[in-house]
Amino acid sequence: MGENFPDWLTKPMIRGIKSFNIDSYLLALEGWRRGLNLTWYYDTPHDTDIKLIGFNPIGKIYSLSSEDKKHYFYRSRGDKVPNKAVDIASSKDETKQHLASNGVNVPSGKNFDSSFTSEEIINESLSMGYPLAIKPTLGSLGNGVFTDVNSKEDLEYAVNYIRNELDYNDVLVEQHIEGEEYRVYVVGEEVVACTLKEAPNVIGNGTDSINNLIEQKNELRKQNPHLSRKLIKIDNQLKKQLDKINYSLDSLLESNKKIYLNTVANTSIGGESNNLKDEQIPSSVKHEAIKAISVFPKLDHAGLDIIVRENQAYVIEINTTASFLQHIFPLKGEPINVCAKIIDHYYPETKDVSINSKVYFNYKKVSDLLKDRLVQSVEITNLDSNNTYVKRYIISGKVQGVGYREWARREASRSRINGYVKNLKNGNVVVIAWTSSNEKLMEFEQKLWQGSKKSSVEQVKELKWDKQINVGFEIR
Amino acid sequence: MLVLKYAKNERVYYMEDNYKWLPQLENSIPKSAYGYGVSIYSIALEGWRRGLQLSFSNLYHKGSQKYVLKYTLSDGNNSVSFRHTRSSKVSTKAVNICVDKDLTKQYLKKAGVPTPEGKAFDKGTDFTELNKIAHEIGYPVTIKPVDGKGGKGVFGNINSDHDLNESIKYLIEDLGSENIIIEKYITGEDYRVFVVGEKAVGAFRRLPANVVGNGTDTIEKLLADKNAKRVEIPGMYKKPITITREVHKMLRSKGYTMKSVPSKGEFVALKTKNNVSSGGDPIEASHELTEEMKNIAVNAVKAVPGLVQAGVDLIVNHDENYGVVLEMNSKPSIRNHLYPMIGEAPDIPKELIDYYFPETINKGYVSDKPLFYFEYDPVKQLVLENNVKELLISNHPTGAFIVKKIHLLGSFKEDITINWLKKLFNRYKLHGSVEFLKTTSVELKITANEENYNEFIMELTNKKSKNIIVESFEIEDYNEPISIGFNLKESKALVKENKNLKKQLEKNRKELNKLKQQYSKKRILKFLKINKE
Repeated sequence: MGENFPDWLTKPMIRGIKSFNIDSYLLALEGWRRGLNLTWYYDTPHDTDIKLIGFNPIGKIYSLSSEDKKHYFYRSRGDKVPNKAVDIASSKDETKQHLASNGVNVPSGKNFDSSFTSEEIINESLSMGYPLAIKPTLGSLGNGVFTDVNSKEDLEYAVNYIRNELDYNDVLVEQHIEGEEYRVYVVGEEVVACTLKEAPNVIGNGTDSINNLIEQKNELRKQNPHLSRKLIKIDNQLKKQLDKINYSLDSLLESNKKIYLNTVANTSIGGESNNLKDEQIPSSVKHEAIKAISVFPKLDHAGLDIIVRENQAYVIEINTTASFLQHIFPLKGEPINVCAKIIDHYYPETKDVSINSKVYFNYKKVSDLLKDRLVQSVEITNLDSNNTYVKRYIISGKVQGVGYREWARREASRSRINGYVKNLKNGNVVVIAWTSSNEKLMEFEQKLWQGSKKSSVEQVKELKWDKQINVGFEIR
Repeated sequence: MLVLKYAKNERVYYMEDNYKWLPQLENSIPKSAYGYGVSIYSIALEGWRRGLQLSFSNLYHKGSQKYVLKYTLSDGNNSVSFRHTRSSKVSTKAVNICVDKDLTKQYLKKAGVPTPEGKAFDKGTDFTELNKIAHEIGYPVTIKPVDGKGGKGVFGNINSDHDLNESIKYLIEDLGSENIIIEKYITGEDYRVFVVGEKAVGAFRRLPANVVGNGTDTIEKLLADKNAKRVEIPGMYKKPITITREVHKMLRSKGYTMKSVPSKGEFVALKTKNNVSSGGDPIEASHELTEEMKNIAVNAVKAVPGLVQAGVDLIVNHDENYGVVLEMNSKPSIRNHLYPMIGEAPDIPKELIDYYFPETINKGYVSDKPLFYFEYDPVKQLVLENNVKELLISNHPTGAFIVKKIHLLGSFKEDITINWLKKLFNRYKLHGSVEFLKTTSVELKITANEENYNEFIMELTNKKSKNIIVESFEIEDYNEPISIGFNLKESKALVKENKNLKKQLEKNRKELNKLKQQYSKKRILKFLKINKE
């Protein structure tokens, strides 16, 4: 089964890249395709103070530059986003207070710092009334977030878990808002992407068991590069949830009946993502998102979590280093190229540059070089033209074990040919070759007939190639 | 005993291993930088070890339609780029003058630097005119292409119009030369002098391909031993001395064959050409040059405005005490200077960095610090694959370091152990190498500051997981240079072990098949037996 990729990406381009690094890679790729210079760094360079968050920044710090300006990026965040905004947004409590005092709708609640005992937190929370949401104030990635808490037992569990298991001191308790959950990405003053999130669910067809329906859902998820490893897990929690609504895994679900398998709309546990078209985005979401962003001075782009209840939008969280993968790889709806919007914002002069969405660079090589700490920075070879002539060649004869690939690489480098050369199992050699001049490509094709000293080429078959093409020339 | 005669190399006696190479380069040149790369690597390394920032880039040169490897050293304010051994402080004009041997001659003459009398002409010139020029200069003469490189197309000691005309025809028709120089042939010893600023910092000359007898081995054996040694020398061409028809001829003329046994210390020349690429030996020769001769070389570089540094080809006639400059190379290789077969190598990398970054003189090389170096493979890849345009090498580590060899014993699943160690190297800023000796033993050669080192040792002490178990480890002092960052050494032992395991597996499989067959045979026999009964 092939996976679903937007038309500007293919699977080999992101093969082997860990999910936390994909945001960095995709944003860098967009800039690089527009002709900007791209450099990756091991550490924050001296001429920027861009703030790093989380662990292991390798493969996540990069710069894009044109002749007259240079911007640094960390993951999805560029240096136009002030560090102050990053600081505020990293504390859910501060974010909330800042938003509330500027008239943005947020759920009511209270932050409990280390001066409160767990008992005090629980007692005071009880007075707020159910349902509650409980989370670590400084947490990220949905770690330790408990929503729709409706009993003292669950409340106690949540508080103890956050404090004792996750080792956070500060606990944020707020009213749980039951409603539609949205993930929004804002660039400048525009909501460029809005994804409706739904808790994991299945819809009956009158013939399949819930177990089968879950399997079908997972099959669908497997085709999505972002969700292929975020499947609905059949575990005790799920069984308990089914039990609650009087179903079991073997129950036959009646036609068009929709049941939820979890209360949390998180994609990592099987939640669904549905990209909305611009006209489908509720105006309250747009309005509240823009308003929230604008109370942070100069916050040029960010991701927001918003919940809508009875046409009223509440801002739950602002993420200044938000992943935009769910907008690029939604389960439903059209993919939205958030990267293009961000690059438009930093380099408006490149907005109309025609790009070749087949080209990519070898990110794995970059991150390997940086990981081994031999280099401080790596600059990617520039694209010299968007005009590309591409061919695939199958070379047969005595071409393996005779230095043909090394020879081809040397010749390609001399002639400025990009692509790769690879041995095939049937004894032939395949070459993908591309360059900006048809004449040069033809010259190279002629050269392929010569081969290395020990080789003897019988045939060079010319074929079409319309898939992805890498910069540089590699032996594979 | 070392006796070097100046003029002829017929009998030069030299003791084995009578050379001294730069100690700071010992075990510091990665295999990937051997050969041509040694000049680049040794200069880059010197600058980097002094704390300068070092980057390598692969630039496309539109004029020549070629990629050029450039490396840049910088102290933040001052930055100097190099191509091969030539710095960016050498002006383009100076480079162009050096390429044109006729122009070089004119500049030398103007500055009063001795150079053989000569004249350039183009390929359209008729032979009567050429012969006239030759007679004016006076035989013997040398002819060479004006823009020739590496001694290609140089014909020396031409003594007649006939020989002259034949050689010129060859240059024009076979080598495609457009412009040719005729000059006076000078007899003497050929030297290559490396000049930086106002200093002749090194000089070597070449001995023809040779072996030196030990009184017991045949020439054949001596040659095989020598070739085996040559490929291990960083500065050498990978090419061994090949046994050509010329070698046999040369030996015959002295009454030898490949099976002859030369006496101890006897120098047996195998070829006439003194070319290192045809198997000749470079020998350090600064001490053979008088101050006067060295000054000629220095003045030659000064004669070309903006040249600053160059390799000067100098012919010295020791008997008559004169020297002439033939030509200059603005980016000569320095590998023959660095790895002479006789004599002490001059520290040319040091002289170059001293010259361009005088404020770094005496920096680096503190005795209590390990010597660091860096892997060169990624730089080679940069040139070969071109998917990366520039690499900034991590700065030379600073601070106090502990250097140790650690032998881990236990049980290690290779890929998981590698990832684990990589993470620890990163976390504790370790530098060094990891080598799997067996699946039960790993050797680390590492360095870190004391605090990080101790933390690392703690991690080793407590390691026990499904795929990695450290049962014990031994720590030894270690004094060899360390390659920065994480370096996984390809383990020959493990490769062998894998091979053996595969063999064993194959054997077992065969055995199993055999047993299966036997078993089914037995069953059939049994079946037949039952049926019979």
